[in-house]
Amino acid sequence: MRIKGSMAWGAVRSASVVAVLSLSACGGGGGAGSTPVTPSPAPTPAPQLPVGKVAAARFLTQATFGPTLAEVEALQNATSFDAWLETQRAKPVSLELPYLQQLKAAGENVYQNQRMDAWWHNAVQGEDQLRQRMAFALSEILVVSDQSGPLNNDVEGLANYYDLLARHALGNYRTLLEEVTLSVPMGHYLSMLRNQKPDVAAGIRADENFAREVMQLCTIGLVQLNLDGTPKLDANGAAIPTYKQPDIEGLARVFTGFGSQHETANDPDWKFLYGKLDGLKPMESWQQFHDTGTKVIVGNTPIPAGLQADAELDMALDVLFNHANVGPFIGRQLIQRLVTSNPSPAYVARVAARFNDNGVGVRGDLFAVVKVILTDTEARNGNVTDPQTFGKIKEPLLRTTHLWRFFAAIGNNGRYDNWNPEIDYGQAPLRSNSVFNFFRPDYRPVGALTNAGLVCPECQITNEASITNLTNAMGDVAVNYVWSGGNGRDYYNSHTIVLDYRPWENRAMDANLPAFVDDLNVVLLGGRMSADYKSALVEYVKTTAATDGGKRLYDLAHNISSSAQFALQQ
Amino acid sequence: MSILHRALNRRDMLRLGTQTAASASMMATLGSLQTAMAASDTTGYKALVCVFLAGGNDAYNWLVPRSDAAYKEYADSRKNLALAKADLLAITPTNTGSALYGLHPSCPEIQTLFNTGKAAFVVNTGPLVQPTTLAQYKAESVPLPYQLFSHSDQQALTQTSIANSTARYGWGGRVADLLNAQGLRQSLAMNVSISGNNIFQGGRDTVLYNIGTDSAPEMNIYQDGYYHDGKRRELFLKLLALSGNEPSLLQKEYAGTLTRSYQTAETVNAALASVPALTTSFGSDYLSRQLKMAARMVRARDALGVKRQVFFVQIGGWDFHDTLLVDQAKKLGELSKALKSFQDALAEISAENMVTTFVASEFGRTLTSNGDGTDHGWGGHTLVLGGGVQGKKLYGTFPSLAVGGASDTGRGATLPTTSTDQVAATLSSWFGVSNSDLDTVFPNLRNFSERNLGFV
Repeated sequence: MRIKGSMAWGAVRSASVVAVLSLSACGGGGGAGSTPVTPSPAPTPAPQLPVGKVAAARFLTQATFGPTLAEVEALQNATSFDAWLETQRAKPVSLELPYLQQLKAAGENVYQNQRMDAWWHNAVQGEDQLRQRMAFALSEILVVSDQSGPLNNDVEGLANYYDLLARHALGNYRTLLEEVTLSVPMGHYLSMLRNQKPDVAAGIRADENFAREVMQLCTIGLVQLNLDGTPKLDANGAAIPTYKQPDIEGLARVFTGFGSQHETANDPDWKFLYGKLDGLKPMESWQQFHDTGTKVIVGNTPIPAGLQADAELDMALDVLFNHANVGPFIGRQLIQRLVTSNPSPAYVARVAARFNDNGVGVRGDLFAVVKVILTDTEARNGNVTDPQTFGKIKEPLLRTTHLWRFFAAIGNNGRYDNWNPEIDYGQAPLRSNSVFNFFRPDYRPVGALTNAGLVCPECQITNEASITNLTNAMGDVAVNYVWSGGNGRDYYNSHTIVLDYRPWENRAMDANLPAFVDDLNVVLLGGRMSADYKSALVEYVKTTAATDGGKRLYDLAHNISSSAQFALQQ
Repeated sequence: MSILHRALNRRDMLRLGTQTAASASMMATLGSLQTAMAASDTTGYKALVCVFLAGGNDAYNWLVPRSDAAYKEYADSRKNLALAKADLLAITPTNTGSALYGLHPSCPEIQTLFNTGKAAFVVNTGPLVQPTTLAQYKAESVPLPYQLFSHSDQQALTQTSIANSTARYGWGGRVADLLNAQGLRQSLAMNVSISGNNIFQGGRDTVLYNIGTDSAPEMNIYQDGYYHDGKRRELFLKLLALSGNEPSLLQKEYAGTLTRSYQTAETVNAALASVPALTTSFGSDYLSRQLKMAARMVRARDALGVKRQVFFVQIGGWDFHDTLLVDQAKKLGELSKALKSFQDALAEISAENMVTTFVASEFGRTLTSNGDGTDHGWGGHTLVLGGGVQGKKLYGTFPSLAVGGASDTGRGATLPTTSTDQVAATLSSWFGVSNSDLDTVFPNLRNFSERNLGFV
């Protein structure tokens, strides 16, 4: 990779012991594609009940960048989420690169700022919300970052990388893995680009960077896993490493000979290093720079001598992709990005099983995976069955999109010129400080969570300094608005992203306020607002004159979005 | 501000360590722990500063042998990555006999600090469970560190200083647990991070406190006005209090951090504002800004009511798989200047002797080249600085830099000859931890004969 009293006062935390969630596995859906010869008598179908308003809001909070009230109301009468999922699958892909190219064609210089604009656009306004949410999750697993020099200069290459994630977000992981591997941004970021076969005389080895991290982070992880994501243990109770250093060295030699795109069939050697490099196209193989010797990679898998670079890369990616770890390793992380930080082993096993076989014998089908992640009984009922441990801290970017989507926010200039979210949020799309993302899937804050055996990945970027910056930033989001009586603060800046409070003014009148807060509770807090919270909020909002509807809506948006309750997704 | 410590009882003390493979041997020392209680010295003021170079600094292009034979060995191994001998900045250690050494050309400030006795290197350090020979490593006949060569794991090994476990608590955190248990009472957390959450400073019973590079951020709800009035503040606190009634442990964690933040910020900022500003100039880079805040905190120590502090600052960008020569020169130049500014600032406030800084990284890198960079290694060097440091020396044993030589575990990743535990124990000893307590904090230290390296 390239990296290319209050308790703060030293005092004591109370330990609290939490029973580890252990739901028994329930059967997944039946295998499609097999027709029974003799139909058995059809059982009386269970009554198909509407999913309800809170359940719809919770589902959409997991599956999108935040639901609007209209979306919740549209889904609440459905009897399952299947139709919504299928509709989402069929939506055209919202892409970043065409947007940037459009700006460029109009004469605008395209920098990382414009890429941020493109990301917010698709997150807030993209119709393909499920796909976009998955792409964002994948961008935190298959990490590249504009903090690396060559990538900072290749805005379009990075946008295209994100588009690659979006294109395959509901497709197959094997295809995604290969396109990521061969992408120029990943080639730069983990230095596989122009990695050459060893030169023994010159004392030069193959670069191990990508070989190591593609295993540690993108496919199989460090230790052998059971289907349910728990580590396999040896006779001494110790976790068993998935691979060892020689496996990395073998794989590093597989990943040799990929460089610039060929211009002709007989390019001179120097073009491998210095030839045409289009960040929008895959790296290409140069057999003369590929190590054709025999190799051994993970699982004692031999790679024979004399293969073409492309064939060998295919073979190695197949080995990684087919490793038993991938389903639980990637499945668990996707659950963590979408639903809950601490999924039960049974939940992980159900998701991993679907990764291994989508029901019709296909491995790596990400649509099948995200469908089981979102419709699993634990995702749907964890808030009731295990309110202590279920759920996750919402990533700061997602808190903002949630608010922006509810209030249909967009910049005065029609853009989303929030260029450096990392300053207050500790994160920005494709802007991690290292290939280890903004936070690790196994990060556990010391204290109560560690004592309870729980992880909280997002807590890694939540600390006494960042949390106040974020809380203040949420206030700054809500304070930019338009209402019938005028505008909020900073409205006249053309870059300001403005929340539209106009549709809600009537609902902020005294008589309508409690029912409106109920809706905000459902959509923004997943129905977790306590009676005391509600009455305190309503009482406070009423201290603003009813004639100042804009301020009242600001009060609602800001107080909810800056509360700890909004930080939790459950 | 509310400053609360629950008094730890003996049972707490017994739980002080971490869950490790060494816990059995640790238990053996616990009988003597009680008699050793309160043996720690927490008089006066002392601070440790951990400067962490995330990514794995290429230590063997930082400190380079200049004697003819040793330089040739270095150059033969490093090939196209070798620095020219003439470019090295000469340092003059007093304890290396006729062997000559030099620093990377971008480190003139470190050169001066070293040659004036304010800095020293501990060479070829790294995580070890016990002293390990090359034959033992190759035969795997002794316990080896967990998941060698992985960034995330070796960061954890370095910061916990327990090489054979996935320990949860860092050694900075464990020292805070110990000193608190032995009666140190101070108003602000001993561990202050200026670079976010980290493993090093988390303890079982104590948390770390995070501050920004400029200040402790304050809630803008405290500013009166149209959007933020006193009632808004009341509502914020009310909703925060209500969150405590709800079952989610994740939400409680979040609310706890938010509470600490608002309860602490104004007091810390007031303390920082109560002392004169530093006149020493710092660079505008991230490391310099972090170190400047550390110096300001040291200056405000009395106002903060602290006698022992551990600071954590960090910069990334040290994973030189590519373009090593260009990138490392830039990073080391930044590091060297920032360390100089920091030592100057400590001199300005007459706190040089109170503060010891150590510069660590998760691993050194391979001596061999992968073309234009190096890959993940094991042993590297730790730089220590401060008025208390017995400087102008190299501590430990400088390894053979020959590929296939006596120190090479493969690819030119050197087998460490000094463990991070020994470095950490020496620093902790200076910080006030008693000799017997060192075994509690560092459960593998007993495996090494030299418990104190004597550099501070």
